Amino acid sequence: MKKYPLSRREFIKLNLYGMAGLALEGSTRIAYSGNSGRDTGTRMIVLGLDGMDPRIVHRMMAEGKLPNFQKLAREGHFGPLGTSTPPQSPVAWANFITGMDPGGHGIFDFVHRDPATYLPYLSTSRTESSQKSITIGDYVITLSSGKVENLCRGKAFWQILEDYDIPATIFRMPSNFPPKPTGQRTLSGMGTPDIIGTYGIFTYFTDHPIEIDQDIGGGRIVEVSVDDNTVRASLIGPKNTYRQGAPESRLDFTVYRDPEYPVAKIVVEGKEMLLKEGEWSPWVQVSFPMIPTVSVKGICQFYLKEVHPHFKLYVTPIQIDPSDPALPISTPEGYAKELYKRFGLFHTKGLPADTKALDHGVLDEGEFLKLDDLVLNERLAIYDYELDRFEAGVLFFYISSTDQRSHMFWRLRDRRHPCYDERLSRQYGDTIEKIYQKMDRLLEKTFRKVDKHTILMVLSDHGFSPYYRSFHLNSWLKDNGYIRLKDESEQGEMEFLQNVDWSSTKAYALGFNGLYINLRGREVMGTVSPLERMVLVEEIAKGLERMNDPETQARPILKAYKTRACYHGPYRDHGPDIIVGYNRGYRASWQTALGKIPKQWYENNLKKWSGDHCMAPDILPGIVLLNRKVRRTEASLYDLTATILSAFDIPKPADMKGTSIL
Amino acid sequence: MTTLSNSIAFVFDLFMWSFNGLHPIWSMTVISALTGVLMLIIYKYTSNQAEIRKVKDWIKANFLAIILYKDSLKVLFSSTGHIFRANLRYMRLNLVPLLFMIVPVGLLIVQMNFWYGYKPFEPGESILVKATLANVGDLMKAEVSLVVPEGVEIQTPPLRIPNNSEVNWRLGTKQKGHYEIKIHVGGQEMTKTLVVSDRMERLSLLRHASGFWDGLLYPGERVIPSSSLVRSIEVHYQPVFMGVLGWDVHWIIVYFVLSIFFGLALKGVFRVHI
Repeated sequence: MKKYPLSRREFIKLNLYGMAGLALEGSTRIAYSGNSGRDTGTRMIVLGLDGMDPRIVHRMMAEGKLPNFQKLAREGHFGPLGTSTPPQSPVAWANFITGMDPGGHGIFDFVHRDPATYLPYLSTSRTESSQKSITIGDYVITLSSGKVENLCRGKAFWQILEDYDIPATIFRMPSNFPPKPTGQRTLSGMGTPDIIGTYGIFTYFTDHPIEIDQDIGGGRIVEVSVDDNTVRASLIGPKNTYRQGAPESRLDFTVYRDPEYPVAKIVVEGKEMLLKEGEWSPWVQVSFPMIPTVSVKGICQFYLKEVHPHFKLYVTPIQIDPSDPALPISTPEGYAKELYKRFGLFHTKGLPADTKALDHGVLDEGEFLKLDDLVLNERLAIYDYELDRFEAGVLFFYISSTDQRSHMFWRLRDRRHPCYDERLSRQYGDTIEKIYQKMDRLLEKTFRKVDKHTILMVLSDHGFSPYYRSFHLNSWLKDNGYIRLKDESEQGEMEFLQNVDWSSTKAYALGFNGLYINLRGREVMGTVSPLERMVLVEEIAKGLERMNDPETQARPILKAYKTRACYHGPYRDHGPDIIVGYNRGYRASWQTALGKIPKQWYENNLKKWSGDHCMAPDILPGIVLLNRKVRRTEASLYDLTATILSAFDIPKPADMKGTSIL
Repeated sequence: MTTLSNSIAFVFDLFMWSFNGLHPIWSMTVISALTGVLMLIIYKYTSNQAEIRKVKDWIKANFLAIILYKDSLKVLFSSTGHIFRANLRYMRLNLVPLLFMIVPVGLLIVQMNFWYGYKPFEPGESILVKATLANVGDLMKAEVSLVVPEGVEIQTPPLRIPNNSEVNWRLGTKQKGHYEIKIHVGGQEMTKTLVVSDRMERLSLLRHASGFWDGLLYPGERVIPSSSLVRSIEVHYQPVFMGVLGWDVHWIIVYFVLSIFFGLALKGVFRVHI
């Protein structure tokens, strides 16, 4: 859709001719008040480059491959940045947002557990459907609205800036969905769900599904039949809460393929697209009908992977439509629409690079990178726009590609990795270095906007490590008598700790670093008294730190962090009792994160997800670069929050942990 | 019908040409004002003005009765009944002028849609072209090809759907211009216009073989001869919306709102009772 803008002069003329009441968009629309704050003479650009590792940056700088990082380091400061405990992005960025540790903001892991049910949930936001409704026949009429809540507690630094009338634009900050209420321009980042409410589920339509494991997380494999070179299938939308039983909403679409040529036409809701094999479609707006007059809008892209001999079509997770968001993704509400009007539709899902699709072989390395390039180019275009109009206050801009590519391509730069592939390494072994160099060019572009009044800060939330071996923490707990199973013969079969006999269980693990004591008064079937808790924490921590992997003779766990000692703030006791700090090369298994208890303790990591950072924070610092000399070189994420405030002479709040390094 | 529609298109093009380069709201305002005047004139001469005036007075009188005798239930109910019946009569009186208006307004809307309803392609955009064929037998054996001028490129091989007798291509636009693409089928050649521009222009979405509705709804290009192996050629231009008060509004809503505004504003000048 495009609109014809109307100039101010034309609008005034129209008014003169008696056209009062007809307000047209473009220059006639009154800009919202967001970002029209006080100009203190100082301004600050903050680039958040997720997962950029100091070792790699150091080496590449020494090799002259990052000239702009080098320049910034020479003129100001470059050093490691203390990450969060644990070094997971939602936790780390929440530290940066609030200037507090998890005890203050309440985000401890990607995955939290509900002590009333022991079931896991995503840590950064919670969606509640309407509590009151009446049912008439097949229809459900809601009497109250549902709500979606940002679980990152505490005041964000841009909210504090707002209190002092300092404008800020915060682009895709993780752990900020739904965006914290503010008049500043913000667009939600990591943690923003797709329209189904998950972190993103792709769909893969194929008539040849045998090559792919059907039971995959993060995606759906749908077997289709090709009749007369025509495929009829459905996209799955959100649950239809207007219908009894809340069935999944569906949207039918048809694909026609040429009987000979590698080309196909996709028809969805009357929109037609012609794609060649190996091509991505532009964004497609789709709407899932709920009841007459009510539908939920989303956007997706199609990728025609193969036309002949087999039909293979990948569809991205259906994301929130920024032109008409089904859930709040920006402040002011119009900011997402403003970006849409300027740039067209764009990715809104938290982490749009589809790592699951690559992991399961639905997309190959080249296809994954093509998708991530689309994401990155989209963001860089918006960055150009924001940088160009940035005049005062703070501009924060977040890039996820550095993190996502490090997760997926570490195996092709590290011969020790169980998934190292010589052939693929020749083609993609330098993927991580290449994205670092792209960030260097981003920095070069940023320099053009930096004058003597502009503070430039570049940071990453954590570093990166190889992920060679998985550790089944719950299996270790079980074999050491801390977990008892209801049925030993079922060990390894059930997720979500369903096989755990809670009446005899003292501790359990859920999430990527969290270990919980089954505490009486907190957990619904707690067995450990508050007095016993400390002893038990000490005992388990020592046990974990003493272990050796019989295969490698290495210690899988460097340190077990006792959270009562390292967290501060009102939410300290809501999270895990121990944060397990894995050694370089080790990580909690995927099964541990979801509460599964396999029979063995260790497993080689044979997934393409081969680099990680859910380890001990001491070995995975992030980076910080500033175009100013600093008073002290040791800094943590929450110190940078205090640094931002101090740059504008704003006193830091009492609950903020960090101190300014300027 | 096609000739009539094409003639109207020619006149409309001349009119729109005088607004060349201006924002669409200018031409839309003038068209709406003219429509308002035209509708008033049609209404004046096709409606029973005396009767309309009488019915409106009757409705007003009954409203007055309700206000004056608000304590009398009898008056309240009878006046409400009178108002209801008078409204039905009023609507019936409007039917005749509406029937007279519907034809010119319908033809006008068809013309306006090709100016206001879609946007030309911009350089760098992709275009879907769909040709529907007739009497070619086995589509897979038919010789069908597309020739494009410089400034346009063919981006995909043809996508043939034998069951629909349909061939699709995706084209890419490289530079602005008014183009003709040529479809060759079995030794015949059929052309279709294509507009690549950043300005508002009249766009032809479909070139079709003769037919009453197609002739009415898709004016602007010569009808495809009935002997042709091509039944229609379709180009998918993108729909465009007008921004009003921050909302994306279909042009037809803007048109109706403005026409009604002008109709109501000028009814006194033309001494019309609506």
